Amino acid sequence: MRYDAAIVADLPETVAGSFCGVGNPFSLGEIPPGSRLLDIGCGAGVDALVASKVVGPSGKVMGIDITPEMIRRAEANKKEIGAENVVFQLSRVQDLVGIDSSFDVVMSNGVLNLIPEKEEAIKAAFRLLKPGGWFFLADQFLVDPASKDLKARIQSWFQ
Amino acid sequence: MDFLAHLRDTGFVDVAAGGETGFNSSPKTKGMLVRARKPGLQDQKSVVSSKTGDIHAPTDAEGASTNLSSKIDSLMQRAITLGAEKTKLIDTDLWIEITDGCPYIDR
Repeated sequence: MRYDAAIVADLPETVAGSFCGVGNPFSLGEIPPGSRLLDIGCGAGVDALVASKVVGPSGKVMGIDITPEMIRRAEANKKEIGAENVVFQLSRVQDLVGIDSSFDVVMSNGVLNLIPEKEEAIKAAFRLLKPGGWFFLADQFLVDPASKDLKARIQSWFQ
Repeated sequence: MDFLAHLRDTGFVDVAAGGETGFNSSPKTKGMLVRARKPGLQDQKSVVSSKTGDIHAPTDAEGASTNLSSKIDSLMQRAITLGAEKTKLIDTDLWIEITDGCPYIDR
């Protein structure tokens, strides 16, 4: 997915092997050193840890996820590479309060398609961004209309 | 793509698809990259004096429809409502170090 080869090579195999994104949101634009970045749905933290190298020691990265096991794994990965400018937090994006307009970049990789409350999540991303900040997203988009039967099956699954 | 329209409706500008990721999770889905920007002050075509803090709202001649000064005032008032003792509009070149009140200090 054309991540920065030097950064990826620097990640231990146990960390790189935790990756389960669907694309490379870093390819969408420059993230200057010193930036503050939020990774929505950080999982095991691979993108957040890549971002920690991109933003450098003067930057800050926050990774959030709703799965406790993923946050635990992210913390373990963070400890393995010794990143000091990353924090991980168990949270939905819409539950982040008190830090509006804090981030230069909000990023998400293969997560928005999994969030039922998409509108709330997008509004939260907007709220959390600094004026002029960027939302970088890699995800899966429906390109063929879902059949009625498929919709019914999905609906019943949520019940 | 309806999703791009949804981002615009939320308030994002410069909304654009950035190409395919090359990974499709199913025959009915396609991996795509999307980027969008939250409008900044520059999007309101205002002029800010860095020395005095005076805000010049866009004029009718420029086709602008926002009153930046009143928006700034309302934000400053909101800060007071939330508990700030004082508010001040500052030069954007001025660095501020937050020394307390922030749960993410030193993190």
